Amino acid sequence: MLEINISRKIYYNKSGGTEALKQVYLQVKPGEIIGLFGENGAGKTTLLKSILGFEHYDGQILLDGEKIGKSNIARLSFATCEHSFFSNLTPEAHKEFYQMHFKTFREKRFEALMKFFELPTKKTLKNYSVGQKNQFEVIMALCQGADYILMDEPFAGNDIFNRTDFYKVLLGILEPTETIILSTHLIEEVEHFISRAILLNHGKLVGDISIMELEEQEKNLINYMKETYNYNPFHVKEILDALSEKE
Amino acid sequence: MISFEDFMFVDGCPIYLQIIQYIKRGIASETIHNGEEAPSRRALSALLGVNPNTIQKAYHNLEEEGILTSRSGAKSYLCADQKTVERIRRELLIGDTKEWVNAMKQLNISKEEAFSLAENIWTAKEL
Amino acid sequence: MVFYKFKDPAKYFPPGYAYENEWKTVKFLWIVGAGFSLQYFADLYTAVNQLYSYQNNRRVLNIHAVAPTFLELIAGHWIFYIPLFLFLILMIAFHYFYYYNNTKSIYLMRRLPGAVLLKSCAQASVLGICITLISWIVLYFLYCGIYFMVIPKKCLP
Repeated sequence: MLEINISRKIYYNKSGGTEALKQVYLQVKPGEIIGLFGENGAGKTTLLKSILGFEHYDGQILLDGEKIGKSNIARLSFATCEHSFFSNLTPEAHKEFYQMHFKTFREKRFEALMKFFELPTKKTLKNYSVGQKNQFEVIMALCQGADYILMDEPFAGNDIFNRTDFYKVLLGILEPTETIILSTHLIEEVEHFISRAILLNHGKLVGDISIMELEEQEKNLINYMKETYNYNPFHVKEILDALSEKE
Repeated sequence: MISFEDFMFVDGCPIYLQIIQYIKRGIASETIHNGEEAPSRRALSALLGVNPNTIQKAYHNLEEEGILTSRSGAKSYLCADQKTVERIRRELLIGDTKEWVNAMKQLNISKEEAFSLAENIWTAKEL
Repeated sequence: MVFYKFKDPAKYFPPGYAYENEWKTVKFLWIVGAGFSLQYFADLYTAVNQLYSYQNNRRVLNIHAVAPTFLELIAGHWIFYIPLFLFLILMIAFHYFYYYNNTKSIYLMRRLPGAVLLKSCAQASVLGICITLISWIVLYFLYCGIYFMVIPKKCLP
């Protein structure tokens, strides 16, 4: 289980500091597929990076009771829209690199996914298209053999069929011990794929609900989000009125 | 193996209910047969792109109703003898008819008008 | 030359790093550095000549002629490998920033157990520094040996 207790995370800059995260307390159990939602700058990326130890924060994050460090970091993997692979290497070379450093690397899964998405294994990654790069980034995160797979908007630039295929394949191959935390803007698309939705707003946790619960309440995710963010659907009317008055 | 090829879920109704409905309708219309194997939870989850919890809930409900049985853990089979098929058909017929009646009532149409409308459309269809 | 012992330089550099330019620069600085150090021989030649004067077209050792110490002669020429050292240290920074270039492979490197990130940044440089130090010491003793061979015993300080 991943226990996240972040009381505060501040980014310091010239004009003082911004509170990127505030009082984010949550627990992630094995097997969950969590959708992490929030507006741009809500703190989704900061949260994921904090879990991985890439950011300093006030608080504590424990993986099965232990702090995240060299001894257990291999149980976490990361796929980011910024891409974390080596552009000058081929997928084949990446496989070797991962096998060298991760005892848990899933070779069979790697071959199966590369084949399924028709990705050339001997071509250098810098020659891949953006969509292919995204796919490869996610594949590596899935094949590391991690228990907690963190993905930060991994599908920016992939067409819908690509993405739909991915969700389906994921559901088919994931083991009950594997957990996914997926940060995305594609709410409607992932609504049925995830088991739980976590909402951030200006660094604070404003929503945390299981999809089952939503269904019981007969709400869908978008409506829940609109409520949570106090989205005013008539907001648009104001500007339309203002514009039509002028004329 | 029960086929879900023509199953498409829609918004507005929990998916696990839609799956249950789909199977019941299949039973009632005899496109799904007694003893047929149901896809595993994981396979169906991947096929539909839907979280396994949802599939689990649907299957669990069907098991409670006695429509689905799990033998040896992994595989599930449909369990619908003639009596059950009839019961389900009845349930669905009543459900659908209730919906129709409510829709007609909402449009403020009398019972006689509604029935004659239904008759026309029914016979027109068969022409 | 010692460089050709390394059949596959790639494994001393970060994965996928284009090390050719650095490799060339290092070799260049090593050669140039060694080349500059040869100026020592100019000073040695001058020092030796100063021990003698010409009398009747014959070279005669000056009485009470004392040669400068080896350290005095080599002074100023010590620095011949400093550029190489500095470059080797700079390389460590280059290697580190490589992980931020283009893709953020730093996110992968920071998740690896052990000192993989450190090793990949510093390995080539540390190796280079060791070899340079060894070359430096070898040349030092070589030049020192030549000094003692060339300066007559009487003139040693």
